[in-house]
Amino acid sequence: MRTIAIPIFGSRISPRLDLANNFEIIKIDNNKIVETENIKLVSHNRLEKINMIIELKPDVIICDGLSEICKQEIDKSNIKLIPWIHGEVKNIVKMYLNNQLNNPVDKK
Amino acid sequence: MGNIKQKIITETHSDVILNSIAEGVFTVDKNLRITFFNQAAENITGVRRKEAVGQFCFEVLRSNICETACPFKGRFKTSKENINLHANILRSDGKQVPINLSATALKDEKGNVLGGVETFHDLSAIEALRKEIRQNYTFEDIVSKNHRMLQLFNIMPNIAESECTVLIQGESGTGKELFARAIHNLSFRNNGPFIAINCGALPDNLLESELFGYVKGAFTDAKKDKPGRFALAAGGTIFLDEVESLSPATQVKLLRVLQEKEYEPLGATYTEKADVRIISATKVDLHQLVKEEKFRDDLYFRLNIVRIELPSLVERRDDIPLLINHFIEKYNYKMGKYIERVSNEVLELLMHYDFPGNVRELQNVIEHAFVMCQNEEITLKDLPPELIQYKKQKENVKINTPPLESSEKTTILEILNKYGWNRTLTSQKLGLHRSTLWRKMKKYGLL
Repeated sequence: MRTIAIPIFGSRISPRLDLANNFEIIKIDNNKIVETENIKLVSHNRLEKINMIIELKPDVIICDGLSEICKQEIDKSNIKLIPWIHGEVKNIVKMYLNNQLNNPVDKK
Repeated sequence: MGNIKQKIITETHSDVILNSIAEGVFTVDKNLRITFFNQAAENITGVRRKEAVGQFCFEVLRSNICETACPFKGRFKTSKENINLHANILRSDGKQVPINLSATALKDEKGNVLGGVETFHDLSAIEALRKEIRQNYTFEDIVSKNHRMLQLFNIMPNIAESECTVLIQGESGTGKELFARAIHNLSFRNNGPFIAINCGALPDNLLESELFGYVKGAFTDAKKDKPGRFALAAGGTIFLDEVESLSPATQVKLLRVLQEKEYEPLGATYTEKADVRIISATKVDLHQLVKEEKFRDDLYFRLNIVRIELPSLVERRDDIPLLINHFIEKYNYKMGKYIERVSNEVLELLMHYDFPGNVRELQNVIEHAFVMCQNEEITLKDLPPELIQYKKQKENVKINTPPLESSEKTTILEILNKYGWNRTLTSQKLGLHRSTLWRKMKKYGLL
């Protein structure tokens, strides 16, 4: 079982991880989505926000914009980061499951 | 056919013009997809034009206001412009770039909304310049551009290099310990310890043993020898704050340290050498205490070889914007926040407040605001309640100033705020000589 955290803005990936308030937490088993949950993480302190995300203990974070400070903080944990990805969340998740996130831009 | 040709030429000209300006310009359609992206926008964002066109603007700029306060939000329905907004964008290398932006709706000849246009410019160079200026106004950990403080900065290395005692006089919160530390750091003793003690914080019997130490059996609870602060400061500097609080007995002992460079720990039958530089500080007029025979004159003259008088914050109001920026930078680092500035209303209020607690009080105000502030700008609602109360009281007082003078004061204040209280720029902008501006500032209580 793997857990993916994705910051969301409407139906798309949020442009910035440190500023996103809404997250989709997806649990994957045998390469299939078994559970999806939307959560709100509100903090005006960006380091606190990053720590809140880390405390969710996801295996992977798929996000778009990632500031240097955020990267440094997340790199201290064991969480795998897949940054600078933008597009519709459902398409990105599909691409992730199909191991296609090498070409990250989903222009739809 | 001619019209079409003319239209193509005009569009080409527009492109050339827009690509030659230093300001970033991009246009979006009604769905926020980028339709035009000029050369400067490419330079500032690091995103190539052909990659940007067709993308959502929030996924190209990734600004801190895209999700919460999109400048195009609602603008397609109204003709209102969104001018002069501060924001920062995130480049694909993870670096944040401060920008200033304006946005408005794009309409055709009939007034139908086609999308929007945003112009923005990179503030990195200005920010870097501001930092450099700030560094020029920083001496050790002390930040100032006030002429009295700059004079002190100039003589500090000479004071530090000498071995003489220094008396620092200044109100509470003016930075006496910072100056003492700066003198120590610049002195030949900087590899030795810097030991600070507040003489007013301890009862006299405890202070004596704290300063000079004691030996086993000196008093009931003295189970073993304990070195005093003078011993701990050996080879370095001891800073005696609130030196006016010393009792007559301790004054005598201190005088002996200054004269003979030696002292006896409490209960000891031997003498210790004092290899220590003494810097003392007081928030009262020590000379007055001497006149009132509350402080030994011989000790006063020994402590007062060099005297540094620190101005209160009210006497260096021109430092307030600089100090605000300094504390914003400090607390951003400490608290992991990204606050960029205080609002004009906050700056104006702080510029007129009396700050009985001086720089320390200003620092506390900014720290309080950092806890309360939920965006990039500190506004009035983030300030401590007593400051808000102060503002209300001021507003309730009818100012008996003639209307013409009142408007002159307002204009001067506006320009001063605009140029960060830089008097040279303000006087240039107002077409006044610097001395005339100074006179007017004094007249209107702006100094």
